[in-house]
Amino acid sequence: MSNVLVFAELRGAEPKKVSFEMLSAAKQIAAATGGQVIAAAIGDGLSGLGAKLGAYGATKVFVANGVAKYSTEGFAHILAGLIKQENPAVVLLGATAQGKDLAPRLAAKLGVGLASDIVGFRMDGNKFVAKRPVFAGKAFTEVTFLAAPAIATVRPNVLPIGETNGAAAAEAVLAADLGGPKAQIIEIVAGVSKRLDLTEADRIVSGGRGIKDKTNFKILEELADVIGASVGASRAAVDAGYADVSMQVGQTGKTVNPTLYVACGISGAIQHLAGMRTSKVIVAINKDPEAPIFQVADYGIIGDLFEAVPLMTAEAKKLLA
Amino acid sequence: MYEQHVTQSGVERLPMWGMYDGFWAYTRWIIYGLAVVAMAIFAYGVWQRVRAYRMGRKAEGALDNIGQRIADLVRYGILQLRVIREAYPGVFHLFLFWGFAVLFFGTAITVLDEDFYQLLTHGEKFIKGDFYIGLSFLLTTFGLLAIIGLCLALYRRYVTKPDRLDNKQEDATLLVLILLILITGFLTQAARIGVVRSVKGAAASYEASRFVGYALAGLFGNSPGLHKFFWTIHALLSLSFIAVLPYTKGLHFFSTLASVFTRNRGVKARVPSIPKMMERMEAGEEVEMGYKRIDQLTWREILQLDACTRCGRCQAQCPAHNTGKHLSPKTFIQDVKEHWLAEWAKKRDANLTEAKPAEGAAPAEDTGPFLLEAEAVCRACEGGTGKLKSQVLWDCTNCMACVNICPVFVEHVPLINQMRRELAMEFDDSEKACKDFFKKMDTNANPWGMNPGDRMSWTAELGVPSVLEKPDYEYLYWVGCMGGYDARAIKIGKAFVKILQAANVNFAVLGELEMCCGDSLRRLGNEASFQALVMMFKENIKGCEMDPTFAGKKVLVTCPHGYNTLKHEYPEFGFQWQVFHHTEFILDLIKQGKIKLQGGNGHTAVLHDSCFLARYNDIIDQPRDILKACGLKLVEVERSKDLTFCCGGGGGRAWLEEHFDPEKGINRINFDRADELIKAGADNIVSACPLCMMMFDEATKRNECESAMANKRLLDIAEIVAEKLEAPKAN
Amino acid sequence: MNIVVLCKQVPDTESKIKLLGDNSNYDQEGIKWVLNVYDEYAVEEALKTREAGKAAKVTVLGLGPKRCEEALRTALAMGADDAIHVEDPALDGADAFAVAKALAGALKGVDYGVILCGKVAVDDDMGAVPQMLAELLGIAQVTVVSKVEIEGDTVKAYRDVEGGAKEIVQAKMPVLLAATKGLNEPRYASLPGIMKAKRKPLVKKTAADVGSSAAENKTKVAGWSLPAARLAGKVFKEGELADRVAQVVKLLREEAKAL
Repeated sequence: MSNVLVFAELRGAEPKKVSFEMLSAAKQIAAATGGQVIAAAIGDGLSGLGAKLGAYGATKVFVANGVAKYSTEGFAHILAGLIKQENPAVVLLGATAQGKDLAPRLAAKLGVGLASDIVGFRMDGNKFVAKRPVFAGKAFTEVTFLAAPAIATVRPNVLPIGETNGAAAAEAVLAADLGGPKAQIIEIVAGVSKRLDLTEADRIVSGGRGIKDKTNFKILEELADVIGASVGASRAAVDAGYADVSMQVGQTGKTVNPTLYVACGISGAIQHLAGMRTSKVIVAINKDPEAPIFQVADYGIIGDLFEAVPLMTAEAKKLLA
Repeated sequence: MYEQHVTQSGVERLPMWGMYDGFWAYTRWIIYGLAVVAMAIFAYGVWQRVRAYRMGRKAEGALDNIGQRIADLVRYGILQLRVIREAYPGVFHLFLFWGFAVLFFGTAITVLDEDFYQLLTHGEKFIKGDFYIGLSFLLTTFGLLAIIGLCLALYRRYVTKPDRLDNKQEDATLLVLILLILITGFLTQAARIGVVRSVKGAAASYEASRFVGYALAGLFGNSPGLHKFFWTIHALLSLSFIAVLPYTKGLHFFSTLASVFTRNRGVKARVPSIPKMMERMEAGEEVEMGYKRIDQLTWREILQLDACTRCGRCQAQCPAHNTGKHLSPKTFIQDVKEHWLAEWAKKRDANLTEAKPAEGAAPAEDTGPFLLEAEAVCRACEGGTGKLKSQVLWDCTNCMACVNICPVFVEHVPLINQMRRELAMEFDDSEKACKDFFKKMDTNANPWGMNPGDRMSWTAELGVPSVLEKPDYEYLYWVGCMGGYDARAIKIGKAFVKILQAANVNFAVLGELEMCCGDSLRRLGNEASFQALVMMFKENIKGCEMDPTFAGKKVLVTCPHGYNTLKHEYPEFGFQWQVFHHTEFILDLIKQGKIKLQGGNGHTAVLHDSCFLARYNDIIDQPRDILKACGLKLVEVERSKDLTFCCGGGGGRAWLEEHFDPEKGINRINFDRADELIKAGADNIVSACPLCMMMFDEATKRNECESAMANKRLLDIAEIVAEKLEAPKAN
Repeated sequence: MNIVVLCKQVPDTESKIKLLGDNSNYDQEGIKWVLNVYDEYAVEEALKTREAGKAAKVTVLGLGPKRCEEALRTALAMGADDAIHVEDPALDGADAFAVAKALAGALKGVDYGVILCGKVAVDDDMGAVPQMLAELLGIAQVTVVSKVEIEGDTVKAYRDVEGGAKEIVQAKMPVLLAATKGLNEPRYASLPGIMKAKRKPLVKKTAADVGSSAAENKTKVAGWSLPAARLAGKVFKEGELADRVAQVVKLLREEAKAL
């Protein structure tokens, strides 16, 4: 009743980064509850997970092998069985496409509570208290749990990854029994573009008339590739033929609210601000110090975007390497 | 027989002529018979047309102020003041109109003489002697003018072919018919004079007053047969012409005069209201949103459709049409007209075969045929649709150029706005940006959906009190949405505040209490949200224990849209304030010496007239006088004053996407206008409207304008004045 | 086939969020309430399905205080046929589980083939009620749906996952679908439409009727806090460009936590 279970999400057969972030958090939680960190993984052709997850603190890894496709109901069935068997105090999943879909279903199946997309936590004695953003980050709430286990999904890239000196964990086999799910994935369509639609994107690099030419959008795309962003444009850039109308952000284009919006060569007329001002962090690169974009920018660089953007790409590459 | 008459009357030396001279005695009775038939056909046509107009509803006030209306008829009907604004078509139309009018008058007098006076007096005539000579000369002159006019018209229509004209069969028919009547008239005249001259010899020299016929008489010599032939053709053509008038384009002789006479003499700026729309809906009443069927138009609006002669002046002025959009005001009116005539034909036929529905029975809910051919409309409609595509209606910037230029007072814009209401409120047939705009306005009462609490965050730092802090203010400065949120327009607001402070004006602002004036909402057809907005504003004012009528208060507005709306549209909701645009107010301050301006420095300025000032409110001289007072030399562009070209932002268009495809010749309206203003070459491009400013700010920042704009500034007139303010002298 | 759409009323995203003095909740004074934007997509999809002849009736279901009626009226104005409003003070402060249980209770005896809802409500950003409801009802679920195809009693839904990929999920009815942006363009509910919608049936249900209350909560919000006030923007104009860029990138990682 004091262990912490991490559902290690995989990309192919490899754990995603968020899985390590969760294991590191689980170690701290387990220290307060006096339990062990255990992990579970579901996938196909899996091997060596005991070592991979053990390095980050898992002491035992339950592996359901031979499950080629994700299934909400199937995964919930397997995990619910494991949780009933292992009785962990806390269960962590990634706040990813899969984890967000799965965790609430699992919680309801067990009749317990859920805190989604947590960005922090604290231990109140041995009680797990989750911190999560609400109103798109305009406020935070602390959530306590009235039933066990406490289930939470953890926002990727927020919690730090701890030491990687753990020993390989013991592996145990989980039955790959999906319990007859009603819904099934019949096909997975790869993205036409690796970039998300602007309205859904968490990061956006956007260009205005300062781009001067269609081919110059390439330097924005390079930055976008490095930071995993989508590429947008102001109406002026679309008018000038530099960008496609589907990229237009603003009053008459798309309304976006990413975590990061990098405005390059965009003056920031109100009609553009109307479409992006709710972005959480705005970076402006413009050579005109009078440009209104600087009034809403969190970080502004006055300078030539043709120099600044490649520099930023290089810096980001270093940082994210 | 000619000789017979000449000798019988015994006045062979007296200048006169009998219309039926030389004809069989009963000819006149045949003509009378034909005339009665022609007039009966004419009368039936007019009656049918009037019935077709009466498909429309009551037109409030269309026949009030008869004195003024008669004056209108003289100004715009007889003197054709609006027609002659354009030289070429104006002049030939004047020739035609006056030629025809005088010939009609001459014919009427002749008929009076020949067919009444002569019969009653057994052979006496009053058209004789000098009167005969004078009348002859007059009629010949105007007949000739009419022919010249016709030739000019034919040349323009079929040789130079300006874009704005579309040629239909009816145009050719009317012109050729008139030409034939005039030509056969002159031929008749010539042949007759030939005969008379051969009988009377030199004594017939008085006929020289009919100088055209006189000159041509030699061609025919003494050929009474030819005269009778021309005479008969001329008479039959003339009578046929009368008969077919109401069935052809000739109808416009009457429909245009009727349209001028019944024109909207109210404030030209107003959007037709739906009185107490929200209250009535609250009470569960079925309230019509706008126009979707032809029978919802007033008879005056239908009459206007019929008065349109497809002259295309509206189209030539229209910013949407000129930049390649779907809307042509001319085609719009013609499409509605076509629908009306088709519906009228159906209705008339139905009335012949079926019993009329009971008087006062409501038309079946939501059954067509509808005017519009939008997808959503078609879905809802069982009875078919007209030709109008919804994009045609959405293209309109409400700039009023079409209404302003129309020689016969057709009102395209209110009609468009009425139909937009159906699209906006009933069928939800608007683009995504428009729906978003409505949602933002409904929730946060500004076009961008910004937090109402952030409105006007700049006024406090300049020490401007709010109305709550200073309830005894004299002037309320209505800052507007642009001035409340837009970085560029905030500079305008700050400049105006500087002027007000320099002139020691006792003023305050509404701060967070201010809401959007609703101009765009109303003009995009969302009347319900507009009225709800005004009512909410009143409630908020009441909630602060202020007088929601603002009686005795004066309002200063830096935005022509707010100015127009608060001044002309808000009184309907009980507001009693006096409203001034900042150009009016600044000019007063200058004139009264309340602000002193530094002299000029040889710089030039080109003024962009805002549609909502110049065309809606006749504010044309004030901004020019201010610029002169600032020592600036004015440069005028061709499209200025009441013929100004829209910035593209009116009628709610600023919040909508505008089609742009330069390769297909589809330009942005603001680009088109900005190019014209830049080309004027002045140091300062000046507007007096923050919405125009937003449109031009975008347009002048295009990369291709960079070098042209390098030594030019784009400024509001308030910013010009604020720069020129002389520091107040120390006391 | 009938469709049920879950509708939640939330503060407009433009609202300023202030907290009550004791940090126990946010201050609802002066808040503009709207229909949750993701629920609008759900309503639109339901209406389109009905208009395509694939559904007979669209019922909207909401839970919350009296004011939530406005959100339901908005959905009715868009074109839904009737509404169920679960309104009871006993449900104040209900968590995702208690709400899901209440909605499941409200759907007892309601005939439906598809339940549509938004993938998340933009107030608590929890994104849990749809999946919990599907579990409690024992039906299939697809979340983050950007396209729906219905053939007979088979539903094919396109689920957006990372990297722009889509999982095409197929299930037999009944099925719950949670909508994301891009599914459609919601229609505008005009004020006249909202007023006319007052004539459409709206059934009220209490906590007792639906068999849930805040006592069913599995979590508790212990307290609220606000993020550090947004600092005035930092504009870098002096010095080597490379240094300035490096500084901004560093701040994006360390201060803004946006990289």
